[in-house]
This record gives sequence, C-alpha cells and structure tokens, in this order.
Amino acid sequence: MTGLLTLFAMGLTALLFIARRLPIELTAVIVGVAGGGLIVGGMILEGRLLKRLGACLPAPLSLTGEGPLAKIYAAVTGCGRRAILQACAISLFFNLLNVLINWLCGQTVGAQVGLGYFFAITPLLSVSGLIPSIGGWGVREATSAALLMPLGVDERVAVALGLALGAINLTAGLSGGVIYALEGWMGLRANAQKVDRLV
Amino acid sequence: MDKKRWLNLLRILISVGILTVLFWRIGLGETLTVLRQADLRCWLIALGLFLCSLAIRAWRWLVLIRGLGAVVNFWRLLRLYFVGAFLTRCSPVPSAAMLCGPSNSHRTLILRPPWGPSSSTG
Repeated sequence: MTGLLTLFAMGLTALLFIARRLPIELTAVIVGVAGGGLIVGGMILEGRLLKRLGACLPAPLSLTGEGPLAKIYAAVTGCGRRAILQACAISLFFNLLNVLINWLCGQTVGAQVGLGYFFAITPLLSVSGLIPSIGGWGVREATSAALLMPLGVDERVAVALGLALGAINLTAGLSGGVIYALEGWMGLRANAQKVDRLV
Repeated sequence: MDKKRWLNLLRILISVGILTVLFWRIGLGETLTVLRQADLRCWLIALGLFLCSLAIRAWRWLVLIRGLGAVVNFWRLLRLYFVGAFLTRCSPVPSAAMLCGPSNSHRTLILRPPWGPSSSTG
C-alpha cells in the first residue's frame, strides 16, 4: 500500500506539469484514481475515522474485533508509523524505477511518449494490476492501449508496450521459478542426507 | 466448485477474453510486427531495472517486517520475493505478495522453507 500511495502522489505531482497537454478525460481519470486512492490510503493509515465509522458495522466488515478486515487492518497498521514512513521513502525510489521501466518499454516498441507522461499514467497502469487476471495479461495491454491512444500512440504499439512489460514480468517470474526449483531440490537433498544418516 | 476455483476461472477468462478481443481488433500479426522491430537493448535495460526493483521491494518488506518485531534475513526475503514473482506471474494463484505480507498469520510463511520445518535464521 505504501508503494501505491507514493505512486499516486508522484502521479498527481507530475499531472501539475503536464495536465495541459493531456486530454481532459485522461486527466479526470488520473485525478479520480490517484486522488481517491490517496484519500482512502490516508484514512486507512490514520485509522481513527475508519474505526469510528466501522464500529457500527457487522463483525466481518468492522475494523475492530476479530473479523477478517480487522485482522488485515491490524497487520497494515501494526508495523508502526516509523516503519511505514521508511517504506514510503523506499517506495519513492522503487516507483521512480517503475516509471523508468514503463518508459523504456515504450522506447522498446517505438512509442513516442515523453518520460513526464509516464509519471502521470504509471499509477493507472499499476492499479490495473489489481484486476483479477493471469499475471496481468490482457488487462495490462488493454490499459496501456486506453492510456496511450489518447496521446496519439498507435493501438498496436500501445498493446505491444503492454506485451513488452508482460514479457519483463514473465522473465522475472521464471527466474523466481528457477530459484524455487533450486531451493526445493537442495532442501530435498538435505532431507535425504538426514534420512541416510539416521538409517 | 469452490470460491477459489471460480476466482481462478474468472482470472483465466478475463486474461484470455481481453487478449482475444484486442488481437481480433488490431490483428495479432501486426502486433507481432511491432514487436519484431523492437529495440531489444531498451527492453534488456528495463528487465535489469525490474530485477533491481524486486530487491528494493524486498528491502521495503524487510523494513515493515522489522517494524512488527520479526527477525528475517534480507537474502531470504529476496529469494522469497523472486519465488512470489514466479507464483504471481506464472500461475493463476492470488497475489503472492501476500506470501511476504506483514500479518502475523503470514509471518510464519516468510520463515518457513516450502519443503521443511520453520527456521528463523534464514
């Protein structure tokens, strides 16, 4: 959540400089999603107002007690203010990389869109990842097309940008699969050696 | 069919459905042509930055987990982050970031290798 909040703040800041050059509908969507996300995230981290509002709700929906939402809420806020602020600072750095990655994918497929625009549209690209899908496939391509076509980018190029991003995700995921397989193999070997010693 | 299976089916339908509609509209061949002309150097730099960003994300979780008072090794967390990336991006399971999430119930998952007993040393 700290990552998304930082990204929303970055997106809104970038919008101050480039809003004039963006279609009004796109500006409205960015303001709605990033602004709304910041308000909701701020309320979750602040906590008191949401707890007061949620006190009258049934247990599964309440932020107090033993319900599922209460447990998630306790986990989110349990880290402490200092840790959350540190995580936000780290997220700033991570999100700068995230914007740069998206822009580089644009450069890969020849989308002539400036880096500044990617600061504004990356929050929407990231939020689209919350829509249920297999590794973001489909949703990412449709979102990049919806965000880049109003800026004059060809739909095929915009979809190709989404695919290039997906290929990065997939490659990183597969490298994780190799690590997982190696860890599993080494663990099984260690267990087998233990059994051998016992026998 | 239980709720999880329905959700997984929904994920598959959404991904396959949207991609089918997109490629039907713009043409798969045309999109592949754009990809064939892609600048691979830019993509490789982006991939390198993405892998670096996984390390930064692992560092962020380290800060949050330490905020909860748990002791966990950075390298173990980084390995788990890569494994989480595999589960999230290469299978229809829900976000594997939850694997590294800072709740009490998930804390054990951070410390436990997938094949054996718990270990807090990493």
